[in-house]
Amino acid sequence: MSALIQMHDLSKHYGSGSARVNALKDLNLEIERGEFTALSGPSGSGKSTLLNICGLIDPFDQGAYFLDNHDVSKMTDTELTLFRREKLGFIFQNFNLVPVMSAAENVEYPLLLQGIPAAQRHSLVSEMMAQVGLSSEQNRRPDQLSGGQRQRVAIARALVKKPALVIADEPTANLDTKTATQVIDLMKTLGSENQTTFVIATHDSRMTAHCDRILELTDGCLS
Amino acid sequence: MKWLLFAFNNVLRNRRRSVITMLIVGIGGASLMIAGGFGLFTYESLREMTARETGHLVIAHQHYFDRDEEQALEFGLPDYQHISANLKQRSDTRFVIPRLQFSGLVSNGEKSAIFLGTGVDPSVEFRVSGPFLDVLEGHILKTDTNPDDEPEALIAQGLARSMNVQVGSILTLLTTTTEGGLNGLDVKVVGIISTGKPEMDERKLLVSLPTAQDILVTDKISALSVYLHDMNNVATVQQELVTAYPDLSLRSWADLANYYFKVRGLYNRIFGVMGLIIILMVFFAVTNTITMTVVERTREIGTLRALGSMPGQIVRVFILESACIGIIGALLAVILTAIVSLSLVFAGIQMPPPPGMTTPYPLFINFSLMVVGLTTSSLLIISVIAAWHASIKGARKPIVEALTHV
Repeated sequence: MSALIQMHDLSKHYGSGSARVNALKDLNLEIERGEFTALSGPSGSGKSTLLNICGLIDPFDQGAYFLDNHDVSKMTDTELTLFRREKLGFIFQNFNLVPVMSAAENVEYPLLLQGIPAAQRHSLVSEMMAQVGLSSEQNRRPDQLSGGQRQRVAIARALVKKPALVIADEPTANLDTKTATQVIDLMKTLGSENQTTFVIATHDSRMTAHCDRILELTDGCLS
Repeated sequence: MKWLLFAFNNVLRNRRRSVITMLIVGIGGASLMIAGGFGLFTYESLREMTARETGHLVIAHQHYFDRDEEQALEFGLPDYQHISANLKQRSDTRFVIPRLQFSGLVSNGEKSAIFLGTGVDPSVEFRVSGPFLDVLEGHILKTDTNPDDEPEALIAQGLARSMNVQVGSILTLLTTTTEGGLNGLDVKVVGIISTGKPEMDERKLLVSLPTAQDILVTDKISALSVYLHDMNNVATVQQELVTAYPDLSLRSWADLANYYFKVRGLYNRIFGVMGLIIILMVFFAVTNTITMTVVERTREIGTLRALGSMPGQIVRVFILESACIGIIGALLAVILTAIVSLSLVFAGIQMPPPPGMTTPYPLFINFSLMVVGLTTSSLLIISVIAAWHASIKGARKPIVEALTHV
C-alpha cells in the first residue's frame, strides 16, 4: 500500500517582487498510513503552511501532492471540501468549538455534514464521547468545560468520522502538563485503533516525545 | 431542524443586537402594515362613496356619456320604467334608481344663483346614500306627498348660505324645459345637506323625480343607477346588460370614478415612497447586523469550512438566522398593528378631509390579511437578501485567512 501523503518538489510562496517569501521550497515528503508525525521548527519555518497544505485548506504553487492516491492539484474547491468532509479531521490550538453547540453537537457536526442518519449519528457521538471520557459532559456548552475537556471534545470531533488523516495545530500548547499528557495519550490511542495518520505542528517536547517521526523544518526546507 | 436550531441559537448569541434588529424590523413592518391598512380603509371608503353616488352600474341613452346635449334631456332615457322593472327582477340587483340631472337658476326673490339639481326617487335614494349624505338641518324628501303640498327640495349648505334660506323657506327654480322654453317652480326647503365636496355644496339641490320632470316638462330621466348586492359582480353584470341592452350605454362606477382613482394614485405614490424607505431601512439594519455577526464569527466560519462545510451551507445558516430575526420582527409587527388598529376603533380620531372634500373622516386601519401577508413576505425576503449579501463574502474567504482572523 502506498503512503497516505506523498509530496514531490512542493513549493509555496507568499507576496511578490522584493516582498516575496518562500514558505516551502521543493519539499519532498512521504507519510505512511497510521503514522504519528510531528512537524517541528521555529516560527516562520513553514510548518503551519505545510500543515495547511496537508489539510487541503491552503493551495500550493508548484510540485505535486498526492493524498490517499488523489492528485490534490487537480481537485476543484468543491472536491477539496468533500474530501476534507469525508477523510480529514482537524484539531486546533484554541479548540475552535462552536460556542452555541453542546459538546455532543460539536462532535455530531461532521457527521451531520456527511448526511449520516440521526440514529447512527447519536450512537457514534455517544461512543466517541465515552472514548474521550466526556459522557457526562456531552450536553454542556464549550464555555462550561475546562481547557482539557474542550480539547478532548475537539479530538472527538476530529475522530468521530474515522478519518484517514488528522491535522493538529499545536494541540497541547494551551494545556497544562497533566492535561497535555492525557490529550496526547488519547490521540495516540484513538489514532492507532483506526489506523489514523496524525500530522501535528508542535513545539511541545511532551508531544514530540510520543511521535513516530519528527520532521524538522527550517526556512521552508526539511532538515 | 438541526440547522434551524443552530441558527436560532446563533441569534441568541448577541441578544441585545438581535433584539434591536427585531425591533427595527417589527416597527418598520408595523409602519408598512398600518400605512397599508389605512390606505385600504381609505380606498374602500372612497370606493363605497363613489359607488353609492353613481351606482355600481349606470344605464343611459347611447350618447349620454360621450356627447354634449343641445337641449335638456336630449339624450335622456324614455320608457325607463320597463328597463327598471326588468332589472329589479334580477337576483343580483339590490336597487334600481332613476335620476334626472338638470340645472338652472334658483332665486329667493332678491338674489339668483346657478344650481345643479337632481331629481330622485326618495323611497330608495336616501337608502343608498347612507352615511355619505349628511342632513345638517330639517329632514330628507318625503316619500308620499300630497299633490296640494308645495314641492320639496333639499339644498346644499353653501347654496343655502348664498341664498340666505333656512328650513321652511320658499325658493323659485328656473330652468329650460326639454322643448327649449323657460319654466319656473316654487319649492319649499325641507332640509339642508352637506355633500362633503366644496364645489357641490355651492350648487347642489335635490327634488323628487316627479318635481324635476314637472319643471322640465318631460317623462324622461337622465340615467338609471343599478346597485348590486355584491360589488365584485359588476363586470359580470355589466357584460350581461351590454348584451341585453345593445342600444343603451352602460358605465360601471369605476368608469366614472375619476376622483377615486386620482386619490388612490396620490396615496399609492405616498405610501409607495414611504414603504420603499422602510424596506431600505430594514435592509440596512439586517445587513448591518449580519455583517457584524459574520465578522465576529470569521474564525468559526473558517473552522466549519475546514470541517467540510460548503460556502452555501455557511450562507444558509446566516440566512436562517436572518429569517428568524425577520419572522420574529414580522410577528412583532402584526401584534403592533393589531394593537394600533384596535386602539383606533376606540380612540375616534378624525383625519383631515382628503383632497377636494370638506368633511373629515375617521382614522381606521383595515387589518387586512393580504397586507399582513405581503408585508411579512417582504420582510422575510428583505432579511434573506440582506443575509445573503452580508454573508457570501465571509463564506468565500480563504479558510487559512478566516482561521487566522483576529
